[in-house]
Amino acid sequence: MRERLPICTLALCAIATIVYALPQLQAPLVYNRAAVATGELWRLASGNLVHFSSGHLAKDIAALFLAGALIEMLGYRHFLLLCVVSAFLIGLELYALEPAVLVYGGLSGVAVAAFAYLGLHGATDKDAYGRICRLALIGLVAKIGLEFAFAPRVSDEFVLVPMSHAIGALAASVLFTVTRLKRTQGSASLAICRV
Amino acid sequence: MRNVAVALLMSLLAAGCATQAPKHTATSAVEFLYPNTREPVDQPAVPTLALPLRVGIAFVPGTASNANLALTEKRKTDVLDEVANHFRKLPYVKSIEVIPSAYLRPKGSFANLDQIRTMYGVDVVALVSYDQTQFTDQGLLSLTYWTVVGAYIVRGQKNATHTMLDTVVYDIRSRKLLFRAPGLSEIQARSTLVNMSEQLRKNSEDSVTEATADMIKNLDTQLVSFQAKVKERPEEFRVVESSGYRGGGAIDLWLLALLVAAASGGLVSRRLR
Repeated sequence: MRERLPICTLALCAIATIVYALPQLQAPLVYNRAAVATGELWRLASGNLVHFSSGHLAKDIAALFLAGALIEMLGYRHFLLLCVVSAFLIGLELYALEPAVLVYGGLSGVAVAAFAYLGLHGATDKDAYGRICRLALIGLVAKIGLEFAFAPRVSDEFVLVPMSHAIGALAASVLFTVTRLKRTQGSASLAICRV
Repeated sequence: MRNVAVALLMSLLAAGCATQAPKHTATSAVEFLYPNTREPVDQPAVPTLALPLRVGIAFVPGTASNANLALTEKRKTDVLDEVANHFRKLPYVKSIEVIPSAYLRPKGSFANLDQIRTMYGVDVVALVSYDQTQFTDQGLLSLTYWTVVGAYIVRGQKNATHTMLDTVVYDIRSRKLLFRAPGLSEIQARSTLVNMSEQLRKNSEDSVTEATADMIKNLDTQLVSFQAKVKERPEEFRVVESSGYRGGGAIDLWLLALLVAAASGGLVSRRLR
């Protein structure tokens, strides 16, 4: 493993912690349907940085730190892009498809995106690591399916929005596919040039 | 001859320092809510606040004798819109309805608010009342009014406008006052004698604008302390959250365990490779 400092992951976790510690930052950042309607579009993404309780923050950060740090340390590219794209897509999905959700917060969608991205990269390996990653991906898909089916109550402060996890996983799959396609095209062009 | 000169001088000085009767206009939330003091006042019940709240906001209607202020219906709507827009984005507010004055009767009391609750579907109402007094004094410069031209060009009128806007927020069903916030303004301005009424009108408008800004600031503060009060005294305020209005993206322990297992398995297998 190439040793790299997971700067993006650490920065994201630090920002989420600061936002939780300073309530005056939460009001302008939280996803608020009414505010988004008046043009405050940054809330689509920044809502992911707001958490409603210390337990909510701790679990989301733990998951993001684990997946994000591994992505960065293993040298998988475009992690920051993944975070930004998945955060915005989650916000857009909430606005377009979840009109009952007036307020939203939580990094879990981004954490799931990181988890899926890590798994997709690892799944291409042909050894034991690849098998573990493929199993983890199946587990992730099953878990998201269960969330849709049973809508488990994870907190008294809010209801879980399973779609945010699905969108995170979808964003990771799309980004992974696009980067793979580009790399394949790049390799093919190089081979043609060499020929 | 000397007596005539003294009398003339005295009258000039008196004219130069004259004071007009202050112009006072006001509406009162107490008069609107509890118009008949002979009737016993209802004991407020414990309010149940169903989040997200549906809030109505309106100016307290004045009686004919005390509400001849130059606050037109449009100006009132502008003030209410400004306050409503500021609070519309609060996460626990579902909607804010601006209620026109025509829907509230003078001394309408809670019976009138019950009608508003039914018509607009609001749970909580914010009632804005105002109190404005305008003073006009004449300074020494008003001596020049004797020249007639002076009345047109010399700013000898000293005008002062004092305004207080006050918002009281009530839970309609329980008749409980949740919190209140005032907004104050004082504007001093000079004007010519001829231009005085126009200047007073402008001061009145400006003073209402200033008082509105001050009231919004105070409402922010009062809201924060009200939230703290609700948390500290659950026996006084019951809060019920409508399902689904606050959503969260949360990792539960199962998902976290899956991630930890996958990550540690992956790391071990990579090290063994």
